[in-house]
Amino acid sequence: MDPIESWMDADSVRRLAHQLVTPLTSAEVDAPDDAGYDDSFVGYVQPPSSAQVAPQGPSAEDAPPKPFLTTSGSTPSAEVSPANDPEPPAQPAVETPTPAASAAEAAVPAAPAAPAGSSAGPLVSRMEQFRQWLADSYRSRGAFVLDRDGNPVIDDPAYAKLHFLARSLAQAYRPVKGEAGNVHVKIGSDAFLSVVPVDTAFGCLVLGAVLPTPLDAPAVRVVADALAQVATPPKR
Amino acid sequence: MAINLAHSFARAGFRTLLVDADPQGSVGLSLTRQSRLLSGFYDYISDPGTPLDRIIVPTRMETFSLVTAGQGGDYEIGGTPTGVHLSRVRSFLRAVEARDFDICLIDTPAGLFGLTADVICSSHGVIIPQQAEPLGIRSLPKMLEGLNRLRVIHPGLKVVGVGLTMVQQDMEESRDSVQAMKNLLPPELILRTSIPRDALFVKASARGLPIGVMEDGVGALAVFDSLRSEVEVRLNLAPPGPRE
Repeated sequence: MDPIESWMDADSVRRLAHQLVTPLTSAEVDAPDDAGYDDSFVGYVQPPSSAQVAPQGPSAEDAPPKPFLTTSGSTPSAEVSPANDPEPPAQPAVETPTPAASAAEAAVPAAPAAPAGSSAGPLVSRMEQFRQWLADSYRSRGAFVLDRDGNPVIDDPAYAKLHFLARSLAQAYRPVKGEAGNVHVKIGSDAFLSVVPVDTAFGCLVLGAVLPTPLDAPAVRVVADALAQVATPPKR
Repeated sequence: MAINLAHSFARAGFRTLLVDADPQGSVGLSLTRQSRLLSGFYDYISDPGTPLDRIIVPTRMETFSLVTAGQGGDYEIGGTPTGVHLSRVRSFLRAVEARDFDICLIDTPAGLFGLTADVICSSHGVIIPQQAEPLGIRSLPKMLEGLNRLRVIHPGLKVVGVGLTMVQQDMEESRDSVQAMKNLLPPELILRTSIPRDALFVKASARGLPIGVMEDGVGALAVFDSLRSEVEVRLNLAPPGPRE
Protein backbone atom coordinates (compact mmCIF):
# COMPACT_ATOMS: atom_id res chain seq x y z
CA MET A 1 0.00 0.00 0.00
CA ASP A 2 3.02 2.26 0.04
CA PRO A 3 2.32 5.00 -2.49
CA ILE A 4 5.99 5.42 -3.30
CA GLU A 5 6.73 1.78 -3.94
CA SER A 6 3.81 1.61 -6.33
CA TRP A 7 5.78 3.88 -8.66
CA MET A 8 8.39 1.25 -9.35
CA ASP A 9 8.88 -2.45 -9.87
CA ALA A 10 9.80 -3.35 -6.32
CA ASP A 11 11.07 -6.82 -7.23
CA SER A 12 13.37 -5.38 -9.84
CA VAL A 13 14.66 -2.79 -7.37
CA ARG A 14 15.33 -5.45 -4.76
CA ARG A 15 17.17 -7.55 -7.32
CA LEU A 16 19.35 -4.61 -8.33
CA ALA A 17 20.01 -3.78 -4.69
CA HIS A 18 20.95 -7.35 -3.91
CA GLN A 19 23.46 -7.32 -6.77
CA LEU A 20 25.14 -4.32 -5.19
CA VAL A 21 25.81 -6.11 -1.92
CA THR A 22 26.96 -9.31 -3.58
CA PRO A 23 30.73 -9.39 -3.91
CA LEU A 24 31.94 -9.70 -7.47
CA THR A 25 34.58 -12.21 -6.55
CA SER A 26 35.17 -13.42 -10.07
CA ALA A 27 35.41 -10.05 -11.63
CA GLU A 28 38.67 -8.22 -11.56
CA VAL A 29 39.70 -5.42 -13.81
CA ASP A 30 43.06 -6.08 -15.33
CA ALA A 31 43.47 -9.22 -13.31
CA PRO A 32 46.85 -10.80 -13.87
CA ASP A 33 46.73 -13.15 -16.77
CA ASP A 34 46.56 -16.78 -15.79
CA ALA A 35 49.49 -18.35 -17.52
CA GLY A 36 47.76 -21.69 -17.44
CA TYR A 37 50.98 -23.66 -17.08
CA ASP A 38 50.71 -27.15 -15.77
CA ASP A 39 53.34 -29.39 -14.27
CA SER A 40 54.61 -30.46 -17.65
CA PHE A 41 55.84 -26.99 -18.49
CA VAL A 42 59.57 -26.75 -18.02
CA GLY A 43 60.20 -23.30 -19.33
CA TYR A 44 61.08 -21.63 -22.56
CA VAL A 45 64.00 -22.69 -24.67
CA GLN A 46 64.81 -19.06 -25.25
CA PRO A 47 63.61 -16.22 -23.14
CA PRO A 48 61.31 -13.92 -25.03
CA SER A 49 63.08 -10.90 -26.42
CA SER A 50 60.37 -8.51 -25.37
CA ALA A 51 60.69 -8.03 -21.64
CA GLN A 52 57.44 -6.14 -21.29
CA VAL A 53 55.21 -8.90 -22.47
CA ALA A 54 54.43 -11.87 -20.30
CA PRO A 55 54.17 -14.78 -22.69
CA GLN A 56 51.01 -16.76 -22.67
CA GLY A 57 51.03 -20.28 -21.47
CA PRO A 58 51.32 -23.10 -23.90
CA SER A 59 48.24 -24.96 -24.84
CA ALA A 60 46.82 -26.13 -28.08
CA GLU A 61 44.17 -23.48 -27.82
CA ASP A 62 46.75 -20.77 -27.28
CA ALA A 63 48.66 -21.57 -30.43
CA PRO A 64 49.30 -18.50 -32.54
CA PRO A 65 46.12 -17.58 -34.30
CA LYS A 66 45.82 -17.71 -37.99
CA PRO A 67 46.38 -14.33 -39.49
CA PHE A 68 43.40 -12.47 -40.67
CA LEU A 69 42.87 -12.30 -44.40
CA THR A 70 44.61 -15.53 -45.21
CA THR A 71 42.30 -17.97 -46.83
CA SER A 72 40.11 -19.03 -44.01
CA GLY A 73 39.04 -22.18 -45.78
CA SER A 74 42.56 -23.53 -45.96
CA THR A 75 43.64 -26.45 -43.89
CA PRO A 76 44.57 -25.34 -40.42
CA SER A 77 48.26 -25.12 -39.90
CA ALA A 78 49.80 -27.97 -38.01
CA GLU A 79 49.26 -27.42 -34.33
CA VAL A 80 51.59 -29.43 -32.19
CA SER A 81 50.44 -30.56 -28.82
CA PRO A 82 52.41 -28.55 -26.33
CA ALA A 83 53.13 -31.56 -24.21
CA ASN A 84 55.05 -33.09 -27.12
CA ASP A 85 56.42 -29.94 -28.54
CA PRO A 86 60.11 -29.48 -27.87
CA GLU A 87 60.04 -25.97 -29.24
CA PRO A 88 58.98 -22.97 -27.23
CA PRO A 89 55.26 -22.99 -27.63
CA ALA A 90 54.71 -19.31 -27.38
CA GLN A 91 56.88 -16.80 -29.12
CA PRO A 92 55.84 -13.24 -28.83
CA ALA A 93 56.64 -11.13 -31.82
CA VAL A 94 59.07 -13.61 -33.36
CA GLU A 95 60.91 -12.50 -36.40
CA THR A 96 62.24 -15.89 -37.36
CA PRO A 97 59.44 -18.39 -37.56
CA THR A 98 59.80 -21.86 -36.22
CA PRO A 99 59.59 -24.60 -38.80
CA ALA A 100 56.15 -25.48 -37.52
CA ALA A 101 54.82 -22.03 -38.12
CA SER A 102 53.22 -21.32 -41.43
CA ALA A 103 54.63 -18.62 -43.60
CA ALA A 104 51.58 -16.58 -43.00
CA GLU A 105 51.93 -16.84 -39.24
CA ALA A 106 55.48 -15.66 -39.44
CA ALA A 107 54.54 -12.74 -41.57
CA VAL A 108 51.86 -11.43 -39.28
CA PRO A 109 53.80 -9.77 -36.50
CA ALA A 110 56.30 -8.19 -38.87
CA ALA A 111 53.92 -7.01 -41.53
CA PRO A 112 50.25 -7.91 -41.64
CA ALA A 113 49.14 -9.44 -44.87
CA ALA A 114 47.79 -7.05 -47.43
CA PRO A 115 44.08 -7.28 -48.01
CA ALA A 116 43.34 -10.26 -50.12
CA GLY A 117 40.47 -10.61 -52.51
CA SER A 118 38.25 -11.89 -49.73
CA SER A 119 38.67 -8.62 -47.88
CA ALA A 120 37.17 -6.57 -50.64
CA GLY A 121 33.53 -5.67 -50.77
CA PRO A 122 31.31 -3.51 -48.61
CA LEU A 123 32.55 -2.52 -45.18
CA VAL A 124 29.90 -4.48 -43.34
CA SER A 125 30.76 -7.61 -45.28
CA ARG A 126 34.44 -7.19 -44.49
CA MET A 127 33.56 -6.60 -40.85
CA GLU A 128 31.57 -9.82 -40.75
CA GLN A 129 34.57 -11.69 -42.14
CA PHE A 130 36.69 -10.06 -39.49
CA ARG A 131 34.30 -11.15 -36.78
CA GLN A 132 34.36 -14.72 -38.08
CA TRP A 133 38.13 -14.63 -38.10
CA LEU A 134 38.11 -13.50 -34.48
CA ALA A 135 35.86 -16.42 -33.60
CA ASP A 136 38.05 -18.88 -35.48
CA SER A 137 41.38 -17.58 -34.30
CA TYR A 138 40.73 -16.37 -30.79
CA ARG A 139 37.57 -18.26 -29.86
CA SER A 140 35.64 -15.03 -29.47
CA ARG A 141 32.07 -15.60 -28.43
CA GLY A 142 30.94 -12.30 -29.75
CA ALA A 143 32.32 -9.07 -31.10
CA PHE A 144 31.13 -5.65 -32.00
CA VAL A 145 32.76 -2.58 -33.45
CA LEU A 146 31.70 0.94 -32.51
CA ASP A 147 32.46 4.08 -34.44
CA ARG A 148 33.75 7.27 -32.86
CA ASP A 149 30.21 8.31 -31.96
CA GLY A 150 29.51 5.03 -30.23
CA ASN A 151 27.27 3.72 -32.98
CA PRO A 152 27.76 0.07 -33.84
CA VAL A 153 29.43 -0.65 -37.17
CA ILE A 154 28.78 -4.31 -36.54
CA ASP A 155 26.66 -5.31 -33.62
CA ASP A 156 26.21 -8.40 -31.55
CA PRO A 157 22.78 -8.41 -29.97
CA ALA A 158 23.94 -10.72 -27.21
CA TYR A 159 26.44 -8.15 -26.01
CA ALA A 160 24.70 -4.86 -26.78
CA LYS A 161 24.78 -4.01 -23.07
CA LEU A 162 28.56 -3.94 -23.22
CA HIS A 163 28.72 -1.03 -25.67
CA PHE A 164 28.74 1.57 -22.91
CA LEU A 165 31.40 -0.29 -21.00
CA ALA A 166 33.52 -0.73 -24.11
CA ARG A 167 33.33 2.96 -24.92
CA SER A 168 34.17 3.87 -21.35
CA LEU A 169 37.19 1.62 -21.30
CA ALA A 170 38.32 2.82 -24.71
CA GLN A 171 38.11 6.41 -23.58
CA ALA A 172 40.01 5.61 -20.44
CA TYR A 173 42.74 4.01 -22.41
CA ARG A 174 45.42 6.25 -23.84
CA PRO A 175 47.64 4.21 -26.14
CA VAL A 176 51.18 5.28 -26.76
CA LYS A 177 51.20 6.89 -30.16
CA GLY A 178 51.71 4.36 -32.90
CA GLU A 179 51.31 1.36 -30.68
CA ALA A 180 48.42 -1.03 -30.40
CA GLY A 181 47.00 -1.71 -27.00
CA ASN A 182 43.93 -2.84 -25.26
CA VAL A 183 42.14 -2.91 -21.98
CA HIS A 184 40.13 -5.78 -20.73
CA VAL A 185 37.71 -6.51 -17.97
CA LYS A 186 36.52 -9.81 -16.66
CA ILE A 187 32.80 -10.09 -17.24
CA GLY A 188 32.24 -13.68 -16.23
CA SER A 189 33.95 -16.67 -14.72
CA ASP A 190 35.48 -17.48 -18.09
CA ALA A 191 34.81 -14.44 -20.18
CA PHE A 192 36.71 -11.23 -20.76
CA LEU A 193 35.68 -8.19 -22.67
CA SER A 194 38.73 -7.03 -24.58
CA VAL A 195 38.49 -3.52 -25.91
CA VAL A 196 40.85 -2.50 -28.69
CA PRO A 197 40.68 1.08 -29.95
CA VAL A 198 42.06 1.35 -33.48
CA ASP A 199 42.69 4.44 -35.58
CA THR A 200 41.34 3.84 -39.05
CA ALA A 201 40.31 5.72 -42.13
CA PHE A 202 36.90 6.05 -40.47
CA GLY A 203 38.32 7.55 -37.33
CA CYS A 204 38.85 5.67 -34.11
CA LEU A 205 36.92 2.41 -34.11
CA VAL A 206 36.47 0.48 -30.91
CA LEU A 207 36.47 -3.27 -31.05
CA GLY A 208 34.80 -5.11 -28.20
CA ALA A 209 35.42 -8.83 -28.21
CA VAL A 210 34.20 -11.35 -25.66
CA LEU A 211 36.95 -13.89 -25.23
CA PRO A 212 37.78 -16.76 -22.90
CA THR A 213 41.16 -15.20 -22.11
CA PRO A 214 42.47 -11.66 -22.53
CA LEU A 215 44.48 -10.91 -25.63
CA ASP A 216 48.20 -10.73 -25.09
CA ALA A 217 50.21 -7.91 -26.59
CA PRO A 218 51.20 -9.65 -29.86
CA ALA A 219 47.62 -10.74 -30.38
CA VAL A 220 46.37 -7.22 -29.79
CA ARG A 221 48.73 -6.00 -32.45
CA VAL A 222 47.50 -8.60 -34.91
CA VAL A 223 43.86 -7.86 -34.18
CA ALA A 224 44.35 -4.09 -34.36
CA ASP A 225 46.16 -4.38 -37.67
CA ALA A 226 43.46 -6.65 -39.00
CA LEU A 227 40.71 -4.24 -38.02
CA ALA A 228 42.62 -1.33 -39.54
CA GLN A 229 42.93 -3.31 -42.76
CA VAL A 230 39.26 -4.16 -42.77
CA ALA A 231 38.32 -0.55 -42.28
CA THR A 232 40.53 0.57 -45.16
CA PRO A 233 38.47 1.00 -48.30
CA PRO A 234 39.74 -1.42 -50.98
CA LYS A 235 41.71 0.14 -53.78
CA ARG A 236 40.02 -0.05 -57.11
CA MET B 1 26.91 15.67 4.00
CA ALA B 2 30.47 15.62 2.64
CA ILE B 3 31.63 18.69 4.56
CA ASN B 4 30.25 17.54 7.88
CA LEU B 5 31.31 13.94 7.49
CA ALA B 6 34.82 15.06 6.58
CA HIS B 7 34.85 17.36 9.60
CA SER B 8 33.85 14.46 11.81
CA PHE B 9 36.65 12.30 10.44
CA ALA B 10 39.13 15.09 11.02
CA ARG B 11 37.90 15.57 14.60
CA ALA B 12 38.40 11.87 15.20
CA GLY B 13 42.04 12.23 14.25
CA PHE B 14 41.91 10.98 10.69
CA ARG B 15 44.07 13.01 8.34
CA THR B 16 41.23 14.00 6.08
CA LEU B 17 41.14 15.51 2.63
CA LEU B 18 37.82 16.83 1.42
CA VAL B 19 37.71 17.31 -2.34
CA ASP B 20 35.10 19.34 -4.11
CA ALA B 21 34.50 17.69 -7.47
CA ASP B 22 31.27 19.58 -8.04
CA PRO B 23 31.79 22.35 -10.60
CA GLN B 24 29.34 24.45 -8.61
CA GLY B 25 32.01 24.53 -5.95
CA SER B 26 29.69 24.32 -3.00
CA VAL B 27 32.26 22.89 -0.61
CA GLY B 28 34.75 25.62 -1.32
CA LEU B 29 32.10 28.30 -1.21
CA SER B 30 30.88 27.03 2.11
CA LEU B 31 34.21 26.94 3.82
CA THR B 32 36.57 29.42 2.25
CA ARG B 33 36.01 32.94 0.98
CA GLN B 34 38.92 32.63 -1.41
CA SER B 35 37.70 29.48 -3.07
CA ARG B 36 37.12 31.16 -6.41
CA LEU B 37 40.71 32.34 -6.44
CA LEU B 38 42.24 28.98 -5.69
CA SER B 39 43.38 26.34 -8.11
CA GLY B 40 41.55 23.14 -7.40
CA PHE B 41 40.40 19.75 -8.49
CA TYR B 42 39.35 20.73 -12.00
CA ASP B 43 42.63 22.51 -12.58
CA TYR B 44 44.47 19.36 -11.57
CA ILE B 45 42.31 17.19 -13.80
CA SER B 46 42.63 19.40 -16.85
CA ASP B 47 46.28 20.36 -16.47
CA PRO B 48 48.82 17.60 -15.78
CA GLY B 49 51.30 20.33 -14.83
CA THR B 50 49.34 21.23 -11.71
CA PRO B 51 51.02 19.75 -8.63
CA LEU B 52 48.86 18.41 -5.82
CA ASP B 53 50.55 20.66 -3.28
CA ARG B 54 49.29 23.73 -5.10
CA ILE B 55 45.65 22.80 -4.68
CA ILE B 56 45.58 21.55 -1.10
CA VAL B 57 44.18 24.15 1.26
CA PRO B 58 44.91 23.66 4.96
CA THR B 59 42.29 24.59 7.53
CA ARG B 60 42.51 25.61 11.15
CA MET B 61 42.30 21.92 12.01
CA GLU B 62 45.61 20.21 11.53
CA THR B 63 43.93 17.05 10.33
CA PHE B 64 41.54 18.69 7.90
CA SER B 65 42.51 19.86 4.41
CA LEU B 66 40.50 20.86 1.40
CA VAL B 67 40.75 20.81 -2.33
CA THR B 68 38.27 23.22 -3.87
CA ALA B 69 36.69 22.75 -7.27
CA GLY B 70 39.06 25.40 -8.51
CA GLN B 71 38.91 27.94 -11.25
CA GLY B 72 36.93 25.68 -13.45
CA GLY B 73 39.32 26.41 -16.31
CA ASP B 74 37.24 23.88 -18.15
CA TYR B 75 33.94 24.17 -16.42
CA GLU B 76 32.37 21.89 -18.95
CA ILE B 77 34.74 19.14 -17.91
CA GLY B 78 31.94 17.78 -15.77
CA GLY B 79 29.96 17.09 -18.89
CA THR B 80 32.47 14.81 -20.54
CA PRO B 81 31.65 11.16 -21.13
CA THR B 82 32.56 8.53 -18.58
CA GLY B 83 36.14 7.38 -18.82
CA VAL B 84 37.66 10.51 -20.30
CA HIS B 85 39.24 11.59 -17.02
CA LEU B 86 39.58 8.20 -15.38
CA SER B 87 43.35 8.03 -15.58
CA ARG B 88 43.75 11.62 -14.35
CA VAL B 89 41.40 11.02 -11.42
CA ARG B 90 43.35 7.92 -10.49
CA SER B 91 46.56 9.86 -10.77
CA PHE B 92 45.07 12.43 -8.38
CA LEU B 93 44.13 9.75 -5.86
CA ARG B 94 47.55 8.14 -6.07
CA ALA B 95 49.10 11.51 -5.30
CA VAL B 96 46.71 11.94 -2.36
CA GLU B 97 47.58 8.49 -1.06
CA ALA B 98 51.27 9.32 -1.26
CA ARG B 99 50.60 12.35 0.95
CA ASP B 100 49.55 10.04 3.77
CA PHE B 101 45.99 11.15 4.17
CA ASP B 102 43.94 8.60 6.08
CA ILE B 103 40.81 9.30 4.13
CA CYS B 104 39.85 11.33 1.10
CA LEU B 105 36.21 12.28 0.66
CA ILE B 106 35.20 13.53 -2.75
CA ASP B 107 31.98 15.44 -3.13
CA THR B 108 30.81 14.77 -6.69
CA PRO B 109 28.12 16.27 -8.86
CA ALA B 110 24.85 14.39 -8.90
CA GLY B 111 24.46 11.52 -11.33
CA LEU B 112 26.41 8.39 -12.09
CA PHE B 113 28.05 9.36 -15.35
CA GLY B 114 30.85 11.52 -16.65
CA LEU B 115 33.39 12.70 -14.12
CA THR B 116 31.30 11.42 -11.22
CA ALA B 117 31.49 7.92 -12.69
CA ASP B 118 35.25 8.32 -13.14
CA VAL B 119 35.62 9.31 -9.49
CA ILE B 120 33.46 6.42 -8.30
CA CYS B 121 35.38 3.99 -10.49
CA SER B 122 38.60 5.16 -8.86
CA SER B 123 37.45 5.02 -5.25
CA HIS B 124 37.31 2.35 -2.59
CA GLY B 125 33.74 3.11 -1.72
CA VAL B 126 30.76 5.24 -2.50
CA ILE B 127 28.19 6.81 -0.19
CA ILE B 128 24.93 7.81 -1.84
CA PRO B 129 23.13 10.69 -0.15
CA GLN B 130 19.43 10.33 -0.84
CA GLN B 131 16.89 12.97 0.08
CA ALA B 132 13.97 11.52 1.99
CA GLU B 133 11.31 12.73 -0.37
CA PRO B 134 9.12 10.80 -2.82
CA LEU B 135 10.70 12.04 -6.05
CA GLY B 136 14.12 11.06 -4.84
CA ILE B 137 12.99 7.58 -3.92
CA ARG B 138 11.39 7.09 -7.31
CA SER B 139 14.77 7.55 -8.91
CA LEU B 140 16.08 4.59 -6.92
CA PRO B 141 15.94 2.08 -9.81
CA LYS B 142 18.06 4.34 -12.02
CA MET B 143 20.55 4.85 -9.25
CA LEU B 144 20.87 1.12 -8.61
CA GLU B 145 21.23 0.38 -12.32
CA GLY B 146 23.93 3.01 -12.59
CA LEU B 147 25.86 1.67 -9.63
CA ASN B 148 25.67 -1.88 -10.94
CA ARG B 149 27.03 -0.66 -14.26
CA LEU B 150 29.94 1.06 -12.54
CA ARG B 151 30.68 -2.06 -10.54
CA VAL B 152 31.30 -3.86 -13.81
CA ILE B 153 34.07 -1.37 -14.49
CA HIS B 154 35.25 -1.37 -10.88
CA PRO B 155 34.30 -4.71 -9.26
CA GLY B 156 36.15 -3.78 -6.09
CA LEU B 157 33.88 -0.83 -5.44
CA LYS B 158 32.29 -0.97 -2.01
CA VAL B 159 28.83 0.51 -1.83
CA VAL B 160 29.11 1.89 1.67
CA GLY B 161 25.44 2.68 1.73
CA VAL B 162 22.62 5.03 1.01
CA GLY B 163 22.50 7.88 3.49
CA LEU B 164 19.08 9.42 3.96
CA THR B 165 19.21 13.18 4.16
CA MET B 166 16.69 16.00 4.74
CA VAL B 167 14.60 13.66 6.85
CA GLN B 168 11.56 15.39 8.35
CA GLN B 169 9.89 13.29 10.97
CA ASP B 170 7.01 15.71 11.17
CA MET B 171 6.10 15.25 7.53
CA GLU B 172 4.22 12.19 6.35
CA GLU B 173 5.78 12.15 2.86
CA SER B 174 9.24 12.21 4.33
CA ARG B 175 8.45 9.40 6.75
CA ASP B 176 6.91 7.38 3.92
CA SER B 177 10.01 7.88 1.84
CA VAL B 178 12.23 6.58 4.62
CA GLN B 179 9.96 3.59 5.08
CA ALA B 180 9.86 2.86 1.33
CA MET B 181 13.63 2.89 1.24
CA LYS B 182 13.79 0.43 4.11
CA ASN B 183 11.24 -1.80 2.44
CA LEU B 184 13.12 -1.86 -0.83
CA LEU B 185 16.78 -2.02 0.11
CA PRO B 186 18.58 -4.64 2.17
CA PRO B 187 19.62 -3.29 5.58
CA GLU B 188 23.30 -3.47 4.71
CA LEU B 189 22.69 -1.00 1.91
CA ILE B 190 21.16 1.67 4.11
CA LEU B 191 23.19 3.66 6.56
CA ARG B 192 21.43 3.59 9.91
CA THR B 193 22.24 7.20 10.59
CA SER B 194 19.95 9.57 8.77
CA ILE B 195 20.49 13.30 8.49
CA PRO B 196 17.57 15.43 9.58
CA ARG B 197 16.53 18.57 7.79
CA ASP B 198 17.73 21.38 9.99
CA ALA B 199 17.90 25.13 9.61
CA LEU B 200 21.26 24.93 11.30
CA PHE B 201 22.77 23.68 8.00
CA VAL B 202 21.85 26.96 6.36
CA LYS B 203 23.24 28.95 9.26
CA ALA B 204 26.48 26.98 9.28
CA SER B 205 26.90 27.36 5.56
CA ALA B 206 26.34 31.11 5.85
CA ARG B 207 29.16 31.34 8.38
CA GLY B 208 31.46 29.05 6.38
CA LEU B 209 31.55 26.46 9.13
CA PRO B 210 30.81 22.78 9.45
CA ILE B 211 27.56 22.39 11.33
CA GLY B 212 29.31 20.61 14.18
CA VAL B 213 31.20 23.72 15.27
CA MET B 214 28.11 25.90 15.59
CA GLU B 215 27.16 26.94 19.10
CA ASP B 216 24.05 24.81 19.06
CA GLY B 217 25.51 22.14 16.79
CA VAL B 218 26.05 19.47 19.42
CA GLY B 219 23.18 17.38 18.14
CA ALA B 220 24.37 17.62 14.57
CA LEU B 221 27.86 16.73 15.70
CA ALA B 222 26.55 13.54 17.23
CA VAL B 223 24.68 12.66 14.06
CA PHE B 224 27.76 12.98 11.88
CA ASP B 225 29.96 11.20 14.40
CA SER B 226 27.50 8.34 14.26
CA LEU B 227 27.60 8.39 10.47
CA ARG B 228 31.39 8.47 10.54
CA SER B 229 31.49 5.45 12.85
CA GLU B 230 29.29 3.51 10.45
CA VAL B 231 31.48 4.43 7.49
CA GLU B 232 34.58 3.46 9.42
CA VAL B 233 33.17 0.01 10.09
CA ARG B 234 31.82 -0.54 6.60
CA LEU B 235 35.12 0.46 5.00
CA ASN B 236 37.19 -1.40 7.59
CA LEU B 237 39.20 1.73 8.23
CA ALA B 238 42.08 1.37 10.61
CA PRO B 239 42.17 3.84 13.49
CA PRO B 240 44.19 6.92 12.65
CA GLY B 241 47.86 6.45 13.25
CA PRO B 242 50.09 8.74 15.29
CA ARG B 243 51.27 11.82 13.45
CA GLU B 244 54.91 12.69 13.18
